[in-house]
Amino acid sequence: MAISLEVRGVSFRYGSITALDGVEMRVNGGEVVSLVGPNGSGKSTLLKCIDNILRPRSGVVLVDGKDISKLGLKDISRIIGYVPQTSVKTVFPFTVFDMVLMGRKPYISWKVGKRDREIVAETLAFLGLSELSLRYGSELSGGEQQKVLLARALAQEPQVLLLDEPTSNLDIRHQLEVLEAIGQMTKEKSLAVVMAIHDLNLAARFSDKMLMLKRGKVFSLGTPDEVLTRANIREVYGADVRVFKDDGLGYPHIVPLSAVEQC
Amino acid sequence: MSVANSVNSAEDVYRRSTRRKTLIIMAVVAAVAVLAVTSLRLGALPLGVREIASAVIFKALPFLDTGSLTLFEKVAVIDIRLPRIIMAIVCGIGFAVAGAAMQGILRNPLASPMTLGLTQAAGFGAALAIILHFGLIGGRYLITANSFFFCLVCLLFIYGVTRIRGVAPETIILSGIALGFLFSAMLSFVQYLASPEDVRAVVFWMMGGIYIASWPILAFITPVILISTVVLLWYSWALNTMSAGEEVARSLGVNTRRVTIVTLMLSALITAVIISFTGIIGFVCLVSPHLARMVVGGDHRFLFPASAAMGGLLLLGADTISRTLIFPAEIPVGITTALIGVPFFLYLIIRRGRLQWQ
Repeated sequence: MAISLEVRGVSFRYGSITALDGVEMRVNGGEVVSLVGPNGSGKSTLLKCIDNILRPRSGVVLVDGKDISKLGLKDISRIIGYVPQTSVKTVFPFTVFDMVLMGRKPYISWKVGKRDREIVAETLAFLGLSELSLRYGSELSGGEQQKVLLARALAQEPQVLLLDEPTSNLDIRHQLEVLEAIGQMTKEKSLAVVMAIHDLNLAARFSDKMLMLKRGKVFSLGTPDEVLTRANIREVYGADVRVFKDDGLGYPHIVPLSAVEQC
Repeated sequence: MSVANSVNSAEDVYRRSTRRKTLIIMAVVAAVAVLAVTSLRLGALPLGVREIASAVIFKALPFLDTGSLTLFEKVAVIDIRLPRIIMAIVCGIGFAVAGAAMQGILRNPLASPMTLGLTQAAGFGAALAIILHFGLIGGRYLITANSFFFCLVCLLFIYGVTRIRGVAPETIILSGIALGFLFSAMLSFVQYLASPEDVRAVVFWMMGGIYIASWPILAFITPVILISTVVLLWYSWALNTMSAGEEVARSLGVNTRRVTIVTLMLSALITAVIISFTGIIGFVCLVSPHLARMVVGGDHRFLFPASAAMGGLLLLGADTISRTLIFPAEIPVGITTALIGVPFFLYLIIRRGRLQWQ
């Protein structure tokens, strides 16, 4: 049976600043839900709350009906994979293989087994990184780095995959490659995927549902057609756009026009 | 290339790289062994390999004594040179492991006992003992006990700061450096008040030396270093994931807070135990992990053993030179390690194209 991820009434504050306010959402296995919203609207915070990296002030995150805050760190790490926004660059040298092997940490106590090596090798092959196995993080292009971060999370064999801006700083070809790989894995492994993403057109193209955040609150939740409306974007982003639908693509796309006064 | 092929090749390439790393570590360990034997032969009484072998056998299995050695030879090997050589290796291992752990957990290539204020605290403790003859316990180990105590004080302060402000590397490094300044100021103050002879004694202590080596001291420091090293080695995976950032480590199931505190405390304990006997030998701690990273990379499973072997090699080499170069006088080993180590290290930094940190 496919996994389900539920976020119920999650709120979070950084000191006195409210970052999330009663967020509700549900993601089923095989589904990609995009988090959109302006900078500082709480997308990254929501991802960290789901992964229990940050503890919500109130509300719960349920995976298959189980409250994840009741699970141990190791148990969570076997269910949820997280791809951070940061780069792969580390202070000290790690090869691509080593970095992806870290994704096996939840299953390894000391010795790296044959299965661990195989999974890493398969993941590298799946993302076309095999040739780079012994390269250091600092020697990779932006697109390669992003794939390494993704590979690490996939090597975790998660059922829930959280991605924080997986396409920022990538050229259009790499954006498509990364998102297609995510889409393929979502269907093959029935992953429940939550992805924070700035590019509304890519979000529309690659998600089943979208959740639009405004100052930590759910402003709109639904299919890309329902969420990406001219009114919503004007209200949440303070931007005037033209939305094109029903032109045979099967998803909306937008063309930005101008910045407007926000209400 | 097909997917199946590239899966095999990536796995093979990785396995070959780990085998290469293991071989490198074994080679350095072998070098330590060769150097140890060479070092045993050198000194006021040059000895052959046979005499050394029979002396070591005599020590391990006294009933097998063949009577072929003079008492003087036995004493030279067993009670003077052997403990000193083992002490140099053990301390080198301890320093290097502690340095690798500190740099790893603080994600900083400059981290060393000095960054945490430990050497300054040890220096202040020793100075108090030397100048004021004031300490927790009297007798032979007054200086040692005192400098160890002040290392612990320094450590407790840092621990206290992490309790309040969290375990971010910046917090720990800044408070360590601040404490270092405080302890050096207090050290200067007691030196300012002291007589010239006492100041001389303090300065001499601070230069560091392995000459204090003896079997009882070894029996005390070896278990501490051994146990701490095993625990730190066990944390290799956690340290690896933490070098990818605290959030990544947490999402991979690592209790980052616990790992940070245990790693810091153990590496500081190792250093404190050593420097309270030997005085300040800072360089080995900083450099051994860098040398190790140049050959085996950042994976702590290989980095710890490689650093340990490098540390043993470095300190034993430096100490051997210290005690034989201007014989019968001795150069303090803290000076030798830096005099030999720094040019070598600078050479590596300049020559190696691929710098091992960013």
